[in-house]
Amino acid sequence: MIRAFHATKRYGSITALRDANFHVRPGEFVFLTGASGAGKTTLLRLIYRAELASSGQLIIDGLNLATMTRRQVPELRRRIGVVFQDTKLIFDRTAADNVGFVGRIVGLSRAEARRRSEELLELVGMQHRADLYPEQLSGGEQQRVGLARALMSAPVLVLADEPTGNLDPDTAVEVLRIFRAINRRGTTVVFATHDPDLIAALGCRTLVVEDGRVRSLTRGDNAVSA
Amino acid sequence: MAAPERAWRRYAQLCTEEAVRGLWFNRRTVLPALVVMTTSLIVLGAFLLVSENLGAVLARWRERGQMQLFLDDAITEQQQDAIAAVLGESEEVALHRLITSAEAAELFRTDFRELGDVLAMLDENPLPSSFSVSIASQMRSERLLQQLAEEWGALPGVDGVQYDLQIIRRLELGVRAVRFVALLLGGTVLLAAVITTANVVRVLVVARAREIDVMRLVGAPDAVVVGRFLFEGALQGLVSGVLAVGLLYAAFSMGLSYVGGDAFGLLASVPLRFLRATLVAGLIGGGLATGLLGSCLAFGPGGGLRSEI
Repeated sequence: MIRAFHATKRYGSITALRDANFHVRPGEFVFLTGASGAGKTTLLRLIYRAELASSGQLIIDGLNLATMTRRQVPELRRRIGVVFQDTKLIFDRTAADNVGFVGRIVGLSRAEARRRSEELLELVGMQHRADLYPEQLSGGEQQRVGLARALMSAPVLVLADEPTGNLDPDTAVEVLRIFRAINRRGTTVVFATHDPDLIAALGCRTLVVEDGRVRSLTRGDNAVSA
Repeated sequence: MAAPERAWRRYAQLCTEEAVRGLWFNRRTVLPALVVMTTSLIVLGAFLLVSENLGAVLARWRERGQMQLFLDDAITEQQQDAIAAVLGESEEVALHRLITSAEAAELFRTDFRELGDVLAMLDENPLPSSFSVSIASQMRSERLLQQLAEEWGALPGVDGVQYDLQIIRRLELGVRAVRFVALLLGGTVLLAAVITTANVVRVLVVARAREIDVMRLVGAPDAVVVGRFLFEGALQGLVSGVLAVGLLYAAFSMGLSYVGGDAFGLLASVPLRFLRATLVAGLIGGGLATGLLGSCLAFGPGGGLRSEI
Protein backbone atom coordinates (compact mmCIF):
# COMPACT_ATOMS: atom_id res chain seq x y z
CA MET A 1 0.00 0.00 0.00
CA ILE A 2 2.81 2.41 0.93
CA ARG A 3 6.40 2.06 -0.26
CA ALA A 4 9.05 4.63 0.59
CA PHE A 5 12.45 4.57 -1.13
CA HIS A 6 15.07 6.91 0.29
CA ALA A 7 12.41 9.55 0.89
CA THR A 8 13.95 12.76 2.19
CA LYS A 9 12.31 16.08 2.99
CA ARG A 10 14.31 19.24 3.55
CA TYR A 11 13.13 22.71 4.53
CA GLY A 12 16.07 24.91 3.68
CA SER A 13 18.96 23.71 5.82
CA ILE A 14 16.70 21.59 8.08
CA THR A 15 16.12 17.94 7.18
CA ALA A 16 12.72 16.88 8.51
CA LEU A 17 12.81 13.37 7.03
CA ARG A 18 16.02 11.54 6.21
CA ASP A 19 16.36 8.68 3.74
CA ALA A 20 13.15 6.91 4.79
CA ASN A 21 12.77 3.34 3.54
CA PHE A 22 9.72 1.39 4.67
CA HIS A 23 6.59 -0.26 3.43
CA VAL A 24 3.06 -0.81 4.69
CA ARG A 25 1.12 -3.80 3.36
CA PRO A 26 -2.50 -3.57 2.21
CA GLY A 27 -4.90 -4.13 5.11
CA GLU A 28 -2.19 -3.53 7.73
CA PHE A 29 -2.64 -1.43 10.89
CA VAL A 30 0.57 0.47 11.58
CA PHE A 31 1.38 2.90 14.37
CA LEU A 32 3.56 5.85 13.56
CA THR A 33 5.28 7.18 16.63
CA GLY A 34 8.05 9.50 17.70
CA ALA A 35 8.63 12.59 19.80
CA SER A 36 7.02 15.89 18.88
CA GLY A 37 8.86 17.43 15.94
CA ALA A 38 10.43 14.11 14.98
CA GLY A 39 8.84 14.20 11.52
CA LYS A 40 5.60 12.19 11.87
CA THR A 41 3.39 14.89 10.41
CA THR A 42 5.91 15.58 7.64
CA LEU A 43 5.80 11.91 6.67
CA LEU A 44 2.00 11.89 6.63
CA ARG A 45 1.93 15.09 4.57
CA LEU A 46 4.25 13.45 2.06
CA ILE A 47 1.97 10.41 1.86
CA TYR A 48 -1.16 12.44 1.08
CA ARG A 49 0.93 14.69 -1.13
CA ALA A 50 0.38 17.92 0.71
CA GLU A 51 4.11 18.21 0.05
CA LEU A 52 6.61 16.58 -2.28
CA ALA A 53 9.71 14.73 -1.10
CA SER A 54 12.94 16.63 -1.79
CA SER A 55 14.46 13.36 -3.00
CA GLY A 56 13.56 9.69 -3.07
CA GLN A 57 10.21 8.20 -3.96
CA LEU A 58 6.89 7.32 -2.36
CA ILE A 59 4.49 4.92 -4.02
CA ILE A 60 0.96 4.88 -2.65
CA ASP A 61 -1.48 2.26 -3.88
CA GLY A 62 0.58 1.94 -7.04
CA LEU A 63 0.81 5.69 -7.71
CA ASN A 64 4.27 7.24 -7.77
CA LEU A 65 3.93 10.60 -6.06
CA ALA A 66 7.12 11.99 -7.58
CA THR A 67 5.91 11.61 -11.17
CA MET A 68 2.25 12.41 -10.46
CA THR A 69 0.75 15.46 -12.22
CA ARG A 70 -1.22 18.08 -10.32
CA ARG A 71 -4.41 16.82 -11.98
CA GLN A 72 -3.84 13.34 -10.55
CA VAL A 73 -3.57 14.55 -6.96
CA PRO A 74 -7.37 14.62 -6.34
CA GLU A 75 -7.53 11.01 -7.56
CA LEU A 76 -4.86 10.00 -5.02
CA ARG A 77 -6.61 11.85 -2.23
CA ARG A 78 -9.86 10.05 -2.88
CA ARG A 79 -8.05 6.84 -2.12
CA ILE A 80 -6.78 8.24 1.19
CA GLY A 81 -8.83 9.33 4.19
CA VAL A 82 -7.10 11.71 6.57
CA VAL A 83 -8.05 12.29 10.22
CA PHE A 84 -6.46 15.25 12.00
CA GLN A 85 -5.72 15.98 15.63
CA ASP A 86 -7.63 19.26 15.29
CA THR A 87 -10.40 17.43 13.32
CA LYS A 88 -10.67 20.19 10.68
CA LEU A 89 -14.45 19.97 10.91
CA ILE A 90 -16.37 22.86 9.38
CA PHE A 91 -18.03 24.66 12.26
CA ASP A 92 -21.11 25.96 10.49
CA ARG A 93 -22.15 22.50 9.30
CA THR A 94 -23.73 19.74 11.33
CA ALA A 95 -21.94 16.43 11.84
CA ALA A 96 -24.04 14.87 9.06
CA ASP A 97 -23.31 17.80 6.74
CA ASN A 98 -19.58 17.64 7.46
CA VAL A 99 -19.58 14.01 6.39
CA GLY A 100 -22.08 14.42 3.56
CA PHE A 101 -20.23 17.43 2.12
CA VAL A 102 -17.30 15.15 1.29
CA GLY A 103 -19.68 12.75 -0.43
CA ARG A 104 -20.93 15.58 -2.62
CA ILE A 105 -17.35 16.56 -3.44
CA VAL A 106 -16.50 13.04 -4.56
CA GLY A 107 -19.52 13.10 -6.87
CA LEU A 108 -22.39 11.55 -4.92
CA SER A 109 -25.90 12.92 -5.26
CA ARG A 110 -27.40 14.71 -2.26
CA ALA A 111 -29.53 11.69 -1.34
CA GLU A 112 -26.64 9.26 -1.74
CA ALA A 113 -24.34 11.46 0.33
CA ARG A 114 -26.97 11.75 3.04
CA ARG A 115 -27.56 8.00 3.14
CA ARG A 116 -23.84 7.23 3.22
CA SER A 117 -23.16 9.80 5.93
CA GLU A 118 -25.87 8.18 8.06
CA GLU A 119 -24.22 4.78 7.57
CA LEU A 120 -20.79 6.10 8.45
CA LEU A 121 -22.01 8.02 11.49
CA GLU A 122 -23.65 4.82 12.65
CA LEU A 123 -20.38 2.96 12.06
CA VAL A 124 -18.54 5.35 14.38
CA GLY A 125 -21.44 5.44 16.86
CA MET A 126 -22.49 9.00 16.13
CA GLN A 127 -25.86 8.53 14.44
CA HIS A 128 -27.68 10.09 17.42
CA ARG A 129 -25.53 13.26 17.18
CA ALA A 130 -25.83 13.71 13.40
CA ASP A 131 -27.69 17.02 13.57
CA LEU A 132 -25.39 18.70 16.08
CA TYR A 133 -22.70 21.22 15.19
CA PRO A 134 -19.03 20.46 15.99
CA GLU A 135 -18.97 22.90 18.91
CA GLN A 136 -21.83 20.94 20.47
CA LEU A 137 -19.76 17.74 20.38
CA SER A 138 -17.04 16.54 22.75
CA GLY A 139 -13.46 16.07 21.50
CA GLY A 140 -13.91 12.32 21.14
CA GLU A 141 -17.18 12.78 19.25
CA GLN A 142 -15.54 15.29 16.93
CA GLN A 143 -12.80 12.78 16.20
CA ARG A 144 -15.37 10.15 15.37
CA VAL A 145 -17.12 12.51 12.99
CA GLY A 146 -13.70 13.29 11.48
CA LEU A 147 -13.16 9.56 10.96
CA ALA A 148 -16.60 9.14 9.39
CA ARG A 149 -15.73 12.00 7.05
CA ALA A 150 -12.40 10.39 6.15
CA LEU A 151 -14.24 7.19 5.23
CA MET A 152 -16.77 8.89 2.98
CA SER A 153 -14.76 8.39 -0.20
CA ALA A 154 -14.32 4.68 0.66
CA PRO A 155 -10.53 5.05 0.94
CA VAL A 156 -8.10 2.14 0.79
CA LEU A 157 -5.82 3.92 3.25
CA VAL A 158 -6.64 5.98 6.36
CA LEU A 159 -4.01 8.29 7.81
CA ALA A 160 -4.64 9.49 11.35
CA ASP A 161 -2.44 12.33 12.56
CA GLU A 162 -2.56 12.02 16.37
CA PRO A 163 -6.34 11.78 16.50
CA THR A 164 -6.24 10.93 20.20
CA GLY A 165 -3.78 13.68 21.10
CA ASN A 166 -6.44 15.84 22.78
CA LEU A 167 -8.53 13.06 24.29
CA ASP A 168 -8.63 11.50 27.75
CA PRO A 169 -7.26 7.91 27.95
CA ASP A 170 -10.66 6.16 27.97
CA THR A 171 -11.95 8.11 24.99
CA ALA A 172 -8.64 7.60 23.19
CA VAL A 173 -8.98 3.81 23.57
CA GLU A 174 -12.57 4.01 22.36
CA VAL A 175 -11.51 5.97 19.25
CA LEU A 176 -8.65 3.54 18.65
CA ARG A 177 -11.12 0.63 18.73
CA ILE A 178 -13.14 2.25 15.97
CA PHE A 179 -10.01 2.61 13.84
CA ARG A 180 -9.21 -1.03 14.49
CA ALA A 181 -12.75 -2.04 13.46
CA ILE A 182 -12.35 -0.13 10.23
CA ASN A 183 -9.00 -1.80 9.65
CA ARG A 184 -10.64 -5.22 10.12
CA ARG A 185 -12.94 -4.35 7.21
CA GLY A 186 -9.85 -4.24 5.00
CA THR A 187 -8.77 -0.59 5.12
CA THR A 188 -5.09 0.05 5.71
CA VAL A 189 -4.54 2.36 8.71
CA VAL A 190 -1.51 4.45 9.64
CA PHE A 191 -2.15 5.80 13.13
CA ALA A 192 0.24 8.47 14.41
CA THR A 193 0.51 8.71 18.19
CA HIS A 194 3.11 9.17 20.89
CA ASP A 195 1.03 7.33 23.47
CA PRO A 196 2.85 4.04 24.31
CA ASP A 197 -0.23 2.68 26.07
CA LEU A 198 -2.26 2.85 22.89
CA ILE A 199 0.49 1.14 20.93
CA ALA A 200 0.74 -1.55 23.59
CA ALA A 201 -3.04 -2.01 23.57
CA LEU A 202 -3.04 -3.28 19.99
CA GLY A 203 0.50 -4.53 19.62
CA CYS A 204 0.66 -3.82 15.91
CA ARG A 205 3.78 -2.98 13.92
CA THR A 206 5.15 0.46 14.68
CA LEU A 207 7.09 2.89 12.55
CA VAL A 208 9.27 5.04 14.76
CA VAL A 209 10.44 8.44 13.54
CA GLU A 210 13.53 9.73 15.30
CA ASP A 211 15.44 12.77 14.10
CA GLY A 212 13.85 12.35 10.69
CA ARG A 213 14.83 8.66 10.37
CA VAL A 214 12.19 5.93 10.16
CA ARG A 215 12.63 2.55 11.85
CA SER A 216 10.20 -0.31 12.00
CA LEU A 217 9.48 -2.13 15.29
CA THR A 218 7.59 -5.38 15.52
CA ARG A 219 6.01 -6.77 18.68
CA GLY A 220 8.67 -7.94 21.13
CA ASP A 221 10.63 -4.70 20.90
CA ASN A 222 12.92 -5.97 18.19
CA ALA A 223 14.04 -3.14 16.04
CA VAL A 224 14.23 -4.29 12.46
CA SER A 225 15.01 -2.58 9.26
CA ALA A 226 11.81 -2.24 7.27
CA MET B 1 -18.22 6.37 -8.24
CA ALA B 2 -20.55 8.29 -10.56
CA ALA B 3 -20.01 8.39 -14.33
CA PRO B 4 -17.92 11.43 -15.37
CA GLU B 5 -20.73 13.38 -17.06
CA ARG B 6 -23.07 12.72 -14.16
CA ALA B 7 -20.34 13.66 -11.71
CA TRP B 8 -19.83 17.01 -13.46
CA ARG B 9 -23.55 17.69 -13.37
CA ARG B 10 -23.46 16.98 -9.67
CA TYR B 11 -20.43 19.23 -9.25
CA ALA B 12 -22.36 22.03 -10.96
CA GLN B 13 -25.29 21.38 -8.64
CA LEU B 14 -22.96 21.33 -5.64
CA CYS B 15 -21.31 24.60 -6.72
CA THR B 16 -24.74 26.23 -7.07
CA GLU B 17 -25.90 25.01 -3.67
CA GLU B 18 -22.65 26.07 -2.03
CA ALA B 19 -22.86 29.47 -3.73
CA VAL B 20 -26.39 30.05 -2.40
CA ARG B 21 -25.32 28.87 1.05
CA GLY B 22 -22.16 30.99 0.95
CA LEU B 23 -24.09 34.07 -0.10
CA TRP B 24 -26.51 33.64 2.78
CA PHE B 25 -23.95 32.79 5.46
CA ASN B 26 -21.61 35.60 4.37
CA ARG B 27 -24.28 38.16 3.65
CA ARG B 28 -22.51 40.87 5.64
CA THR B 29 -19.27 40.36 3.76
CA VAL B 30 -21.04 40.18 0.44
CA LEU B 31 -23.25 43.22 1.10
CA PRO B 32 -20.79 45.90 -0.18
CA ALA B 33 -20.39 44.09 -3.49
CA LEU B 34 -24.16 43.67 -3.79
CA VAL B 35 -24.74 47.37 -3.06
CA VAL B 36 -22.10 48.57 -5.53
CA MET B 37 -23.25 46.19 -8.24
CA THR B 38 -26.94 46.93 -7.73
CA THR B 39 -26.28 50.69 -7.73
CA SER B 40 -24.27 50.49 -10.94
CA LEU B 41 -26.94 48.45 -12.64
CA ILE B 42 -29.62 50.89 -11.47
CA VAL B 43 -27.61 53.81 -12.89
CA LEU B 44 -27.18 51.97 -16.16
CA GLY B 45 -30.83 50.90 -16.18
CA ALA B 46 -32.06 54.43 -15.45
CA PHE B 47 -30.16 55.82 -18.40
CA LEU B 48 -31.45 53.03 -20.58
CA LEU B 49 -34.97 53.80 -19.40
CA VAL B 50 -34.66 57.47 -20.30
CA SER B 51 -33.02 56.62 -23.59
CA GLU B 52 -35.72 54.06 -24.42
CA ASN B 53 -38.57 56.48 -23.76
CA LEU B 54 -36.89 59.29 -25.66
CA GLY B 55 -36.42 56.81 -28.48
CA ALA B 56 -40.13 56.02 -28.42
CA VAL B 57 -40.98 59.74 -28.58
CA LEU B 58 -38.57 60.08 -31.44
CA ALA B 59 -40.19 57.22 -33.33
CA ARG B 60 -43.62 58.74 -32.80
CA TRP B 61 -42.43 62.14 -34.06
CA ARG B 62 -40.91 60.51 -37.10
CA GLU B 63 -44.26 58.86 -37.82
CA ARG B 64 -46.27 62.05 -37.39
CA GLY B 65 -44.71 64.43 -39.90
CA GLN B 66 -46.46 67.44 -38.39
CA MET B 67 -45.92 71.09 -39.25
CA GLN B 68 -47.23 74.09 -37.40
CA LEU B 69 -47.84 77.35 -39.28
CA PHE B 70 -48.13 80.13 -36.69
CA LEU B 71 -50.27 83.02 -37.89
CA ASP B 72 -49.64 86.70 -37.44
CA ASP B 73 -51.88 88.40 -34.86
CA ALA B 74 -52.83 90.96 -37.49
CA ILE B 75 -53.73 88.41 -40.16
CA THR B 76 -56.75 89.24 -42.29
CA GLU B 77 -59.54 86.84 -43.13
CA GLN B 78 -58.50 86.83 -46.82
CA GLN B 79 -54.92 85.97 -45.92
CA GLN B 80 -56.14 83.13 -43.70
CA ASP B 81 -58.40 81.79 -46.48
CA ALA B 82 -55.51 82.02 -48.94
CA ILE B 83 -53.27 79.99 -46.64
CA ALA B 84 -56.02 77.39 -46.17
CA ALA B 85 -56.44 77.22 -49.95
CA VAL B 86 -52.69 76.70 -50.48
CA LEU B 87 -52.67 73.90 -47.90
CA GLY B 88 -55.85 72.35 -49.32
CA GLU B 89 -54.43 72.23 -52.83
CA SER B 90 -51.00 70.96 -51.83
CA GLU B 91 -50.55 67.26 -52.60
CA GLU B 92 -47.97 67.02 -49.79
CA VAL B 93 -50.62 67.83 -47.21
CA ALA B 94 -52.66 64.90 -45.88
CA LEU B 95 -54.66 66.95 -43.39
CA HIS B 96 -54.76 70.50 -42.14
CA ARG B 97 -56.71 72.18 -39.39
CA LEU B 98 -56.99 75.71 -38.11
CA ILE B 99 -56.39 76.07 -34.39
CA THR B 100 -57.62 79.39 -33.19
CA SER B 101 -55.98 81.34 -30.42
CA ALA B 102 -58.83 80.34 -28.06
CA GLU B 103 -58.49 76.66 -29.01
CA ALA B 104 -54.74 76.86 -28.45
CA ALA B 105 -55.37 78.25 -24.96
CA GLU B 106 -57.84 75.44 -24.25
CA LEU B 107 -55.33 72.82 -25.43
CA PHE B 108 -52.68 74.42 -23.23
CA ARG B 109 -54.99 74.25 -20.23
CA THR B 110 -55.73 70.57 -20.95
CA ASP B 111 -52.14 69.57 -21.48
CA PHE B 112 -50.62 71.70 -18.71
CA ARG B 113 -53.21 71.42 -15.96
CA GLU B 114 -50.85 72.85 -13.33
CA LEU B 115 -50.02 75.85 -15.52
CA GLY B 116 -53.59 76.53 -16.62
CA ASP B 117 -53.96 79.38 -14.13
CA VAL B 118 -51.02 81.23 -15.64
CA LEU B 119 -53.05 82.02 -18.74
CA ALA B 120 -55.89 83.36 -16.61
CA MET B 121 -53.50 85.75 -14.90
CA LEU B 122 -52.55 87.35 -18.22
CA ASP B 123 -54.54 90.23 -19.67
CA GLU B 124 -54.67 88.67 -23.11
CA ASN B 125 -54.12 85.23 -24.60
CA PRO B 126 -50.50 85.10 -25.83
CA LEU B 127 -50.99 81.93 -27.89
CA PRO B 128 -51.28 82.63 -31.62
CA SER B 129 -53.66 80.97 -34.05
CA SER B 130 -52.04 78.33 -36.23
CA PHE B 131 -52.57 75.77 -38.93
CA SER B 132 -51.70 72.24 -37.84
CA VAL B 133 -50.57 70.37 -40.94
CA SER B 134 -50.04 66.62 -41.36
CA ILE B 135 -47.68 65.84 -44.20
CA ALA B 136 -48.55 62.81 -46.33
CA SER B 137 -46.40 59.88 -45.18
CA GLN B 138 -44.74 59.35 -48.58
CA MET B 139 -43.64 63.01 -48.61
CA ARG B 140 -41.82 63.15 -45.26
CA SER B 141 -38.30 63.86 -46.38
CA GLU B 142 -36.25 66.41 -44.53
CA ARG B 143 -35.47 68.32 -47.73
CA LEU B 144 -39.13 68.59 -48.73
CA LEU B 145 -40.17 69.67 -45.25
CA GLN B 146 -37.49 72.35 -45.30
CA GLN B 147 -38.65 73.50 -48.72
CA LEU B 148 -42.30 73.61 -47.62
CA ALA B 149 -41.36 75.46 -44.43
CA GLU B 150 -39.56 78.13 -46.48
CA GLU B 151 -42.39 78.34 -49.02
CA TRP B 152 -45.20 78.53 -46.48
CA GLY B 153 -43.21 80.74 -44.16
CA ALA B 154 -43.16 83.37 -46.92
CA LEU B 155 -46.98 83.40 -47.27
CA PRO B 156 -48.58 86.65 -46.12
CA GLY B 157 -49.99 86.32 -42.59
CA VAL B 158 -47.65 83.50 -41.57
CA ASP B 159 -45.48 84.47 -38.61
CA GLY B 160 -43.36 81.32 -38.45
CA VAL B 161 -43.21 77.63 -39.26
CA GLN B 162 -42.20 74.87 -36.93
CA TYR B 163 -41.90 71.34 -38.11
CA ASP B 164 -41.16 68.03 -36.41
CA LEU B 165 -37.76 67.39 -37.96
CA GLN B 166 -36.30 70.24 -35.96
CA ILE B 167 -37.58 68.63 -32.77
CA ILE B 168 -36.53 65.19 -34.00
CA ARG B 169 -32.99 66.43 -34.52
CA ARG B 170 -32.91 67.84 -31.02
CA LEU B 171 -34.35 64.65 -29.61
CA GLU B 172 -31.86 62.53 -31.54
CA LEU B 173 -29.08 64.59 -30.08
CA GLY B 174 -30.58 64.12 -26.60
CA VAL B 175 -30.93 60.36 -27.05
CA ARG B 176 -27.35 60.09 -28.26
CA ALA B 177 -26.12 62.15 -25.30
CA VAL B 178 -28.07 60.00 -22.84
CA ARG B 179 -26.71 56.79 -24.40
CA PHE B 180 -23.17 58.12 -24.30
CA VAL B 181 -23.47 59.10 -20.64
CA ALA B 182 -25.07 55.71 -19.89
CA LEU B 183 -22.18 53.92 -21.54
CA LEU B 184 -19.55 56.04 -19.83
CA LEU B 185 -21.09 56.15 -16.36
CA GLY B 186 -22.46 52.61 -16.51
CA GLY B 187 -19.10 51.27 -17.68
CA THR B 188 -17.25 53.07 -14.91
CA VAL B 189 -19.54 51.90 -12.13
CA LEU B 190 -19.62 48.36 -13.50
CA LEU B 191 -15.83 48.33 -13.49
CA ALA B 192 -15.97 49.39 -9.84
CA ALA B 193 -18.45 46.57 -9.24
CA VAL B 194 -16.11 44.02 -10.86
CA ILE B 195 -13.22 45.15 -8.64
CA THR B 196 -15.41 45.13 -5.51
CA THR B 197 -16.63 41.61 -6.31
CA ALA B 198 -13.06 40.42 -6.85
CA ASN B 199 -12.09 41.80 -3.43
CA VAL B 200 -15.11 40.26 -1.72
CA VAL B 201 -14.30 36.88 -3.29
CA ARG B 202 -10.73 37.21 -1.97
CA VAL B 203 -12.10 37.84 1.53
CA LEU B 204 -14.46 34.86 1.21
CA VAL B 205 -11.62 32.57 0.15
CA VAL B 206 -9.54 33.57 3.16
CA ALA B 207 -12.56 33.24 5.47
CA ARG B 208 -13.23 29.73 4.16
CA ALA B 209 -9.66 28.46 4.22
CA ARG B 210 -10.76 25.56 6.41
CA GLU B 211 -13.42 24.43 3.95
CA ILE B 212 -11.01 24.78 1.06
CA ASP B 213 -8.47 22.70 2.98
CA VAL B 214 -11.04 19.99 3.55
CA MET B 215 -12.15 20.08 -0.09
CA ARG B 216 -8.58 19.66 -1.29
CA LEU B 217 -7.79 16.91 1.19
CA VAL B 218 -10.74 14.78 0.14
CA GLY B 219 -9.83 15.08 -3.51
CA ALA B 220 -12.02 17.83 -4.89
CA PRO B 221 -10.74 18.82 -8.35
CA ASP B 222 -9.48 22.40 -8.72
CA ALA B 223 -12.46 23.11 -10.95
CA VAL B 224 -14.82 22.36 -8.07
CA VAL B 225 -12.83 24.29 -5.46
CA VAL B 226 -12.59 27.36 -7.70
CA GLY B 227 -15.96 26.72 -9.33
CA ARG B 228 -17.98 27.33 -6.19
CA PHE B 229 -16.44 30.81 -5.85
CA LEU B 230 -17.06 31.57 -9.53
CA PHE B 231 -20.67 30.50 -9.07
CA GLU B 232 -20.86 32.65 -5.97
CA GLY B 233 -19.63 35.72 -7.86
CA ALA B 234 -22.07 35.01 -10.67
CA LEU B 235 -24.88 34.57 -8.17
CA GLN B 236 -24.01 37.89 -6.52
CA GLY B 237 -24.30 39.49 -9.93
CA LEU B 238 -27.57 37.74 -10.68
CA VAL B 239 -29.08 38.84 -7.37
CA SER B 240 -27.84 42.40 -8.00
CA GLY B 241 -29.36 42.35 -11.49
CA VAL B 242 -32.74 41.19 -10.20
CA LEU B 243 -32.60 43.70 -7.34
CA ALA B 244 -31.65 46.52 -9.70
CA VAL B 245 -34.50 45.73 -12.10
CA GLY B 246 -36.94 45.40 -9.19
CA LEU B 247 -35.90 48.70 -7.58
CA LEU B 248 -35.86 50.46 -10.94
CA TYR B 249 -39.36 49.19 -11.67
CA ALA B 250 -40.58 50.29 -8.24
CA ALA B 251 -39.06 53.76 -8.74
CA PHE B 252 -40.51 53.92 -12.26
CA SER B 253 -43.98 52.95 -11.03
CA MET B 254 -43.83 55.52 -8.25
CA GLY B 255 -42.61 58.18 -10.64
CA LEU B 256 -45.34 57.26 -13.09
CA SER B 257 -48.08 57.63 -10.51
CA TYR B 258 -46.56 61.00 -9.57
CA VAL B 259 -46.19 62.57 -13.02
CA GLY B 260 -48.86 60.53 -14.77
CA GLY B 261 -48.28 58.00 -17.49
CA ASP B 262 -48.15 60.53 -20.26
CA ALA B 263 -45.31 62.85 -19.36
CA PHE B 264 -44.23 63.08 -22.96
CA GLY B 265 -47.81 63.45 -24.06
CA LEU B 266 -47.30 67.09 -24.84
CA LEU B 267 -44.62 66.16 -27.32
CA ALA B 268 -46.05 63.13 -28.96
CA SER B 269 -48.69 61.41 -26.82
CA VAL B 270 -46.25 58.60 -26.09
CA PRO B 271 -47.01 56.82 -22.83
CA LEU B 272 -44.00 56.12 -20.60
CA ARG B 273 -42.93 52.50 -20.71
CA PHE B 274 -40.59 50.38 -18.60
CA LEU B 275 -37.61 48.67 -20.19
CA ARG B 276 -38.25 46.07 -22.90
CA ALA B 277 -37.91 42.41 -21.86
CA THR B 278 -34.66 42.08 -23.79
CA LEU B 279 -33.15 45.03 -21.92
CA VAL B 280 -34.35 43.65 -18.59
CA ALA B 281 -32.74 40.31 -19.49
CA GLY B 282 -29.62 42.19 -20.62
CA LEU B 283 -29.42 44.08 -17.33
CA ILE B 284 -29.78 40.89 -15.27
CA GLY B 285 -27.37 39.04 -17.57
CA GLY B 286 -24.98 41.98 -17.30
CA GLY B 287 -25.09 41.69 -13.51
CA LEU B 288 -24.34 37.98 -13.74
CA ALA B 289 -21.45 38.60 -16.13
CA THR B 290 -20.10 41.37 -13.88
CA GLY B 291 -20.11 39.06 -10.85
CA LEU B 292 -18.50 36.24 -12.79
CA LEU B 293 -15.87 38.59 -14.17
CA GLY B 294 -15.11 39.81 -10.63
CA SER B 295 -14.62 36.23 -9.42
CA CYS B 296 -12.46 35.37 -12.44
CA LEU B 297 -10.39 38.45 -11.70
CA ALA B 298 -9.81 37.21 -8.13
CA PHE B 299 -8.50 33.89 -9.46
CA GLY B 300 -6.78 35.27 -12.54
CA PRO B 301 -3.03 35.80 -13.02
CA GLY B 302 -2.99 39.01 -10.97
CA GLY B 303 -5.65 37.86 -8.51
CA GLY B 304 -3.24 36.00 -6.28
CA LEU B 305 -5.77 33.42 -5.15
CA ARG B 306 -4.42 30.45 -7.09
CA SER B 307 -1.91 29.77 -4.34
CA GLU B 308 -4.68 29.85 -1.70
CA ILE B 309 -6.60 27.24 -3.65
